[in-house]
This record gives sequence, C-alpha cells and structure tokens, in this order.
Amino acid sequence: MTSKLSRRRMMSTLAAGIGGASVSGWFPAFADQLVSDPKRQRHCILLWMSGGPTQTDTWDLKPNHENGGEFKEIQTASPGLRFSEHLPKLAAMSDELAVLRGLSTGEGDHGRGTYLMRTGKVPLGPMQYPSIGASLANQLGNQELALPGYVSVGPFRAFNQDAFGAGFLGPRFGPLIVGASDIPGQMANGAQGFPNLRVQSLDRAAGIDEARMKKRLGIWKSLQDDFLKTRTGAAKTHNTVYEGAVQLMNSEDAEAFDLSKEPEKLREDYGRTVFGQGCLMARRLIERGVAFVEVSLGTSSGGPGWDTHSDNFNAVQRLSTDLDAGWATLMKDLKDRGLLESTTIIWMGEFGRTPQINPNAGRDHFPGAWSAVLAGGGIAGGQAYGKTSEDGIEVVDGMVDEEDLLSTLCHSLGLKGKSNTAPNGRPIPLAEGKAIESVLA
Amino acid sequence: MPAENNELLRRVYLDLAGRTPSVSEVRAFENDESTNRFEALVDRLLKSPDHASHLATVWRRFLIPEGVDLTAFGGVEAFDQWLAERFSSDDSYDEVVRNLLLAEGRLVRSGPLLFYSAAKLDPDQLASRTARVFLGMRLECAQCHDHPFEPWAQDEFWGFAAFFARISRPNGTLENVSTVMRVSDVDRGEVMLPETEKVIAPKFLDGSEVLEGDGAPARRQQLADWLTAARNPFFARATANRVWGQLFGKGIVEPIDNFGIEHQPASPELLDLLAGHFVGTDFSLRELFRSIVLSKAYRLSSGAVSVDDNRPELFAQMNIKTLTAEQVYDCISVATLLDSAPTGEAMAINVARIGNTSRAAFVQQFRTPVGRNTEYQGGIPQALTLMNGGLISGATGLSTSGLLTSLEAPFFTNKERIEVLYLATLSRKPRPSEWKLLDGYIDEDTKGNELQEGLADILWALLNSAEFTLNH
Repeated sequence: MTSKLSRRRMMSTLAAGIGGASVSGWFPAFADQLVSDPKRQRHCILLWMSGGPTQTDTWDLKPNHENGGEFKEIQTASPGLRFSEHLPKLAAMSDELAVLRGLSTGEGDHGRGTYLMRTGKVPLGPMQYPSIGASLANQLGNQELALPGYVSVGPFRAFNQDAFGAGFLGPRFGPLIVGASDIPGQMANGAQGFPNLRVQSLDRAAGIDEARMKKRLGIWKSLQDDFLKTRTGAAKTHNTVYEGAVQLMNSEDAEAFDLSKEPEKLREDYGRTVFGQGCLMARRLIERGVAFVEVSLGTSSGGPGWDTHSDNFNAVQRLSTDLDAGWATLMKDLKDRGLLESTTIIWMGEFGRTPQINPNAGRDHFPGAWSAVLAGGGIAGGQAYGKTSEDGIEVVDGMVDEEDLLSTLCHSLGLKGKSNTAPNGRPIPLAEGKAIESVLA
Repeated sequence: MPAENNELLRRVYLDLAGRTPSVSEVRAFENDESTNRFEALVDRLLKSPDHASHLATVWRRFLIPEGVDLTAFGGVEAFDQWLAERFSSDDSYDEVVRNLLLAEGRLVRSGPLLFYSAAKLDPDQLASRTARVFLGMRLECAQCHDHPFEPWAQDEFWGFAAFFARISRPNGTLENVSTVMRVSDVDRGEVMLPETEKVIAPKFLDGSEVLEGDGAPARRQQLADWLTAARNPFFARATANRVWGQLFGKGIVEPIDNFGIEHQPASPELLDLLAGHFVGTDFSLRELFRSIVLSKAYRLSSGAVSVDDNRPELFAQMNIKTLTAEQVYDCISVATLLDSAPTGEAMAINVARIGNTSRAAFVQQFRTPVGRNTEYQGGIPQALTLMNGGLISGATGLSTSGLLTSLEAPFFTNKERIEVLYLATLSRKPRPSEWKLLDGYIDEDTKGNELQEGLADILWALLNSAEFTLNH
C-alpha cells in the first residue's frame, strides 16, 4: 500500500468488500500489514499538561519521605517500575511507557517555561522558533492532505501565544485550534453531555448553501488573481492560507472532528472530559494522516489545571483519573488499529513542581528535577530513565534537559539530525540535545 | 512608481486612523480639488480621535507583553485610555515616557502603572523591556552571560536593572499580593548577579555618572532623566526607527528593537535626520508621523510590474503590511456600518475602540503571533473566521448589514450599488476589467432577492480578499 492513500478511505473500501465480517476478523491482520510498512507516515501526539504537572504525585513518588505526600505507589506491569495509585490503567500498559525522571530545565515561569519546553529554546531570543508541533508538521506532514499538519485540542495559550505558533515556518504550519480555553464557550458541553469540541467556523454560515458558497468563492478568486498579479509576500501567503481553509471545508476528512460518529461506549472509555474526547479526536486525526496532534489536560476550567499551588492532592487525583482514562484508551485504540507503532506520544508540561509541600497543601513551580514520559512508536517502554534524590530535590542520575528530550522525540520519529530552514536559508536543527539511546527502540 | 491616489488614501487612513476610510470619506477626498489635499488630510487625521486610540493600541501592544493576565490590575482598558489621552493632546514623547517610568500609586489603578505590574515589578524584566521599547536594545541577552554578539557585559545588564531595584515590591509573588499595594520609590533594594551574592550598582549604558548617597534623586528619577534626555543617542533614534517601521513595515534598523553591531541601519543618514528632527520638535510624535507620511518614499506604490524583493527592502517600493486583529475588526466595522451608524456628517466617523466588548472578543479569537508585520500571520482558523464566522455573516446578512440595508434606497442604480461596495471595502471603484466580470452576476435588470443576494456575495468576496485584508 502507499502511505499517501488515506487509511480511512482504505478501511472503508475494505469494509465495503468484507460486508458483515466482524471487526476482530480483519482488523488485526490489517494492523500487522501497516506495522510492517517501513515507509509509512510517522505521527506525534503531545499530551500537554498546562500549569506544570507534579512529578512527585505521578511518575516519581517518594513514599518514604515527608515530601511524598498523600498518594501510594502501585506496581506497574513492568518489573521495578512504579507509578501513582491514581494511574492504574497506564500502569497496566507500562510496557509502552518510558518515564524520564531526570529532567532538569532552567525556567520556572509559566510563560518562559512554556516557550522553552515547546520550542527547546529560551524565549525572547533573536528568532521566533516554531513550536514542536509546527516543526513536526513541517517534517512529517503530508502535503496532499486537506487536514492541517498540526492540530491543537483544548489549549490554554495565555501563558505564551508564541509557544503555540509556527514561528519562522510561517502560518501554513500553525495550529488548527479545536476548543480553546480563551475563546468563550469553546469548552462547553454539547447535547449528549460530552464536551462540544469542534473547529470554530468550519461550517458554512447559516443560510449559505454549497452553490452560494461556490459563487462567492468564484468572485473572490477573480479578486485574488487580479491583486496577486502585481504583488507578492503577504498577499501570496494570504492566498495560500485561504486555499488551505477552503480545501479543509470541502474535504470529507473534516469529519475527523465529528466525534458523534464514534460508539458511545468508546467515548465513555476516553472520558467525558475535554482531554478524553481530545484524545479520541487525536486518534481520528492520526488515522487520517495528520502528523501532529496535541491535547491539553486540565484546561477546561479556563485555566491551567496543573498549577496546584494549593489543594494539590485533590486536584491531582482528579487530573490523574482523567489522564489515565484518556491516555490509556488512546494507546489501546491506536494499538488496535496498528497505529501505535508509528505514533510517538510525549507527556510533559512547562516544568515540574516542588517536592516540598507548602502550607496550603500545594506544590510550587520547580524546573530543577522533574519528569516527562515518552510512549509508543520508536520508544523502548517499560522503564524509568534517570533518578532523583530521596527527597526528590536533585537529579542524581540520568540528568537531561529540554533539548535532550526533544532530540529523543525526534530520533524516535526517524528524524535524527533533521533541520528546518529559516527564511534566510539557514538550517535550524529540530533539536540540539543528545538523544537518550536507551529509551529508543 | 508612485501609489495611485486611492491606494495612498487607503494606506494613510489605515496607518494613521487604524481603519479604512468610509465611503463618504473616499468621496470627499476624490472631490477635493485643492493641490494640498493630501497634506490637509494628513493634518486632519493626525488630530482625529481615531488616531489617538489607534496609537494607544499600537503602543500598548509593545509596552505590555502578551500572555500576562492583567485583570487584577485594572486591565488594559485604563492603560489604553491613558495613552489615548496623551496622544490626543500631543504630549511630547519624552514626557509620556517619563510618566511611564515614574508611575506610582496603587496597582489596581492601572493607567501608566500597568507598565510595572505587567513586568511583575521585577528589576530584570523592567530593565529588558525598558531597553527594548525605548532604546531599541535587547539587553536581556546579557542577563545570564555576556552578550554573544554585542558589547554588553552581564554586569551592564544588571547595572541597568539596578535602577529598578528601589521601588516598593511585595514579599511574595505579585499574583498573591493585594492590588491595593502602592508602588513608590523606597530607599533600599539592590540587584545581585545571578547565582552570586555580588551586588551590582546602577550604571548608565553610556557611562554617565550616577548620583548616590544622601540627597541624590531616586534611582528611577535618574534613569528617566537620562533616558529621555535630548543628548541620549539611543532614545530618539529608537523612537524614529519604531515609527518608521510601523509605517513601512520594516525599520531602518531591523528588527526595530534590535540596534547593534549585527543590525546596521539601512541608511544611517536617514535615521540621524529623523532623530534630529524628533529632538528638534521637542519629541513631537505627531510631527514625526507627519514628516514620514509626507515623504516621497511613503507615497510609493506597493505594486510593481516585475517582482523584486530588494525594492521593498530598501524602501524603493512600499511593503505590504498585514492588519492587526484590531484593524481587521475596525475596517469591517467601518465598511459595513457595524458599530458606527453614519451621522450625516462626512467626517464624523469615529470607531468605538476602548471598552468595545464585541471588538475585544473578536480580537481574542482572531489574534495571531506577533511577527514582522510584512508577513501574513493568519492561519486557517483566521481564514475560517472571516469566511464563516459571526462577524462576517452579520456584516453580509441581508437583515443585519447596515451597508446592504443602505443600498436598498431606490435612487441607486445597480452599478452604483456595486460601486459603493467597492468604495466601502477597497476604497476604490471597480476597474473596467472587473465590471466585465461583475456584469455576469448583477446587471441593471437584476432585482429583488437575486439582487440582494448578489450584493451580499460580492461584499463577502471583497471582505475576504487580500486587497481588503492587507495594507498595501
């Protein structure tokens, strides 16, 4: 099969031929066929933990120390690897997960940390760097696809708008936003009690049918052609972006955003949250060929849920439950469809949180020693890499920084040593750290 | 080649008033037969309330960083209002900057103090922002180590930051402090070199003497005096370059806030000339805008028969500039008579900017990353918003659009109706080649529903066109 052909179209063709055959009959065979194709497209899903997630209550517990807090550790499916008790489903799938416990970064401010982790670069430098989403959309994106290469579900962008942008790559690689905390009503629940996630203004305005839209676009095109005869630069980019938007509106693939097409049971498994439904949307987008999808957790209240300066334990228990349901179901769903092997998942936020517990039962910003997780395609799961001290305050082994993390991600996606090209023609490496060989499959 | 009259008209409205001209404003200009009509228009625009509120938005965008929640500190509205009043009364710019740098009072009062609360009262953030927006220098690269390309040492950054060390500040983080806290000068406070105990004394970037000890003026006062002095080589040049960059899409030094060895001015003579003029007019921004807008370079066309990227780079051809989200809203609003109903007086259109909640909501949704304004930053979400979103369907809806409703008047011919649509959006009449095409949609016999829908479709296409969405 060719990687260009939309997998969904292939599946519906197959399904039509198979008729009433049960899903379990042909699904695994089809999945095997996909896995064995070395040229197939690679994808990345970023699970973005806005606010700065606590490592001590998730992946790197300290049960024998006063910094440990209220949660218990549980044994995962991988010998010697233990997670928080509130991540049982992920613990059962730990063979897919590589936990990096030695992350140490230099930014403890939300805005600066967000930019640092999402670009690998300190903010306010001489250049506007693309977020990792735009970077990977550029590298892995399928140009013929109507869907954009970078989709962001439920982002809270207020900390740093630029950290979500395409920087020097230009707006063509910028994110398509689905449900954003800074746009009123976007995270609200729909009719069936699920979050009503959708692409804003994707449908034609009320009262405008297809013929009318076609007529409008006809007039529009002649205006554009005229203007572009004598002009370039911004005018040309404007035209390219509009063509992409029109293509998306007219594409069947836009139904990827319509979650009502999924079985109710599966939607329940993902969780009735923006994060859970976002994970389901991620799967629908990945199977249609989208290169990069990010899903934010804890943003549905309109703020950064992981910023637990007070009442940390109740908040983190809720967040963990949502995380566990959405992420575990996503991995299972991708695996069933033969897509997990070609999809690398990365879990991170802008920084970690203090191992010490403050007087408000909270934890504060802490970039010194924290955790990120890699999973799925190209990742050797079932392990923890790096180690923090008994009190969790220092990295004692396997210290890595933001560039190392992003380099490891790029290697796992088959992008070792790749660069983007800046407008002045200079190659800018995707990441400039040292990939962690032992977590690469 | 010089810009056509209507091209220049549209540009100067967008640059000075932040919006396109209304149909009557276009017609008034076209009917004005005096030889100095452009000069007269520029004078009128520079004194208009729309100019003051537009500049307030532009200035706020670089004075206040994005992504900081300022609701607790009175929000940006009071700040916009304060700026607009300064620009409206043509306060000299050194005075405006002194007011910002010496702001004091309760945090919640907002106004000029927002410059401080947005930087969280941190000496290092205040230092890097002050250097960047008023002196055109990115000192912050020297925050953690000596600047890699420029002659700024780490000590110099912290020496500059030391001027902001002696203001009252909260013990904890600013988020947790009561906003009734007062900001004022205090007599102690120091900055230290990061990860050391080494106290850094205040030091001017040009080595001028800093007064210390009893009776010396407060550090902030000394900084404000030094920074806005006529003999400060950076302040006037940085400001002249900023205004030039705003009008041309590209500074004489580019990026506009990155003066230094790596970024030499395209023309040092031009920069010195403008800076000298600015100082000589007692730092009048209005005069600076006037001089640049009346220059030959500003009046060049953005179009060229052959495409050559070097021409706009060297100001031999106007750059095409993108509109900010605020400008997109204002232009749609003026073109389709959204917020401001016509008053009968030709020149009485003023857009409602400060405190306009539907504008704020649109801007929130439509905003794009800050980049060079010659690069189109909108993406698919912005395109979808303009094609299918509420603002446009209201503006092109048969029952909701003020513009379309006004075209129902019986004395118009269909040709005149289409002309109004073009004047309202593109500030020009259709060209002969366009009439050929438009006749296919609407001719003089078209009427009723077909006519209404046809006009709405043309308006929709105009509002979505690059020619409308860009400042060219």
